[in-house]
Amino acid sequence: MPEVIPQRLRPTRRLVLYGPPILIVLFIVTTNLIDYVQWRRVREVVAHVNGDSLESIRLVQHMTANIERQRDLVERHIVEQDSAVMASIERELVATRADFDDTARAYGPIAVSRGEPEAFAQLRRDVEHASTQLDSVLRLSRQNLAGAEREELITVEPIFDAIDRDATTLLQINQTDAKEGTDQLQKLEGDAMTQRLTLAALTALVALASGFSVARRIERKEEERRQFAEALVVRNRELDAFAGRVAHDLRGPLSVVSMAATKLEGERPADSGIFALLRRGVGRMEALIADLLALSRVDAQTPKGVAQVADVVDAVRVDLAPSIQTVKGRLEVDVEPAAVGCSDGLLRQVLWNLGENAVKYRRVEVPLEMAIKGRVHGRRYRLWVQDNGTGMSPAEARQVFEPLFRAEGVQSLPGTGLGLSIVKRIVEAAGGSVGVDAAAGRGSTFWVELPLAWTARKAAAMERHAEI
Amino acid sequence: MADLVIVDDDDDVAALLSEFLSAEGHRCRIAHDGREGLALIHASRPDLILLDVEMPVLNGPDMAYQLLVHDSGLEEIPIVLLSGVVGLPQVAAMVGTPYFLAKPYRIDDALHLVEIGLRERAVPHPSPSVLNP
Repeated sequence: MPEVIPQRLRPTRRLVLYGPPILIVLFIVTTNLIDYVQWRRVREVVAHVNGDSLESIRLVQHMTANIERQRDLVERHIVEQDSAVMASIERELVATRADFDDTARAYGPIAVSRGEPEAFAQLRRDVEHASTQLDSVLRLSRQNLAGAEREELITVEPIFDAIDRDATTLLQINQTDAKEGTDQLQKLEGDAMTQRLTLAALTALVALASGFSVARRIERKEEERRQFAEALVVRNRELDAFAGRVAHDLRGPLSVVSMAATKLEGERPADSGIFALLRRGVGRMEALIADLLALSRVDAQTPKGVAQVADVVDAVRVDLAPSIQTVKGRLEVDVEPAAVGCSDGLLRQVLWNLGENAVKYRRVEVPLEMAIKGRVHGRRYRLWVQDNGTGMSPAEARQVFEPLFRAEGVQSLPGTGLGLSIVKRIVEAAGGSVGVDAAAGRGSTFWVELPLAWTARKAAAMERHAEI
Repeated sequence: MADLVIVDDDDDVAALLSEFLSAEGHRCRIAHDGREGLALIHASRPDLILLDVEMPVLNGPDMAYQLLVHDSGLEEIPIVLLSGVVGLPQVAAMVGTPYFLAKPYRIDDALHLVEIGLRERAVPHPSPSVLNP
């Protein structure tokens, strides 16, 4: 028979068992973290592209248009003869320049890309230069010096070309920036997808491995449990066989003693008192063997079954009637009919043992008053066996269900000290409990609580279900 | 006076039984296991067999079954089972005999049962034993 010892879950096994759910949680947390980091980076890139590159392009285009507008205004001024209109054009020119300055101030802080500050400074210088030249043209135009002003205007043309180049350079810088931002966004998206897929694949692999391990462990545990249950059945059978063997082997020599005593008694009638002692000793030993056998076999037998309490109590009343009549006692029975989860025969043995004790440990000075009562208590059934016998002290009541215990003052009475142990074993094997309320000299009340039959069946069904 | 065969592996039990039964006027032969018992029974047909249950070599129920299998008329000999085995009534039912007494017994009860067996001569109906599978 293989030794089967249930094992406790080791830390590594615990990790294997709880690994998959932890991994899933870790996966979700990590994915969200990656998403958050990516989102922050994307936001930065988008802010850079939108708030910097695109805005820069818009401002540069605005400044270019502004310069063109200044040029147009100067040309209109040249061809204008009316001084009032000329004054109006000049005011508009001042406003346009102010607008340019505002735009340039807005652009300055965001002109931070590589080469951009230098290109912008160049633009500012060229615009400054152009403005000075245009002012000269305006002065000539006010004097209506058509030829001179035209010539002066022609000298501004290269400056405008330079401004165009500056603007183009700035636009190219910002367009490159925007393109790099877009490329970076696509790269970030690709990276995020790769990271997620890698993480998911890794998690799935580890979870799969853990799942296999868990399944194998469960299978192994099931197998261990099955073997353990089988071993238990075999051991119970062995114990039962051992108890039977012991009983058999003890009864043989006891027969020899009994027969030899009888033979000697016939030959020596004068010693009949001694032979009576011998017979009593044999009787006590026989009772002890029977009780030990009963005690050892309670676990081997199955206490599961259904007993009708009223029927069993009736049978016990018949069993006890001769001994109660002998002591001129009285037995009162008041049991509520119900079925309990305990085999008929074993419940009968329980009540018989308790009833026999009541008769055995009665007080000689008062007639025996015994009662067997039973009531349904929720999902359980409680039986009381009351008597007005010798009772026992609280200390004795605590020990009374221990094997071979015999209370003080009753040791001269016949008994093995096993009857109540048998009661306790049977009741507990049936899923019940047993106890005693007693006071010395005032009788005892033993109580037995058993599950109602449907509860026991339900428990057995649940047990089967758990096994499946 | 009857011819009896006592089959018991306990020498003391067999000897005491023999002594008491001889005192009652019976002739007793003793065997210590089922095989010895069969030899004695085949050698000379007894009126009754006192049979223990658990014995070495061949147990009591198997010995009874062997008598039935041989079908030589010996299976009709009444059997009294005397044993300390647990569940003796079930064993007696298996052997098919109404005569059985659990050890330790009072010798008067055993003698009385032998007298009943000799008077009634109920034929046993043994079935295959399950004691030694």
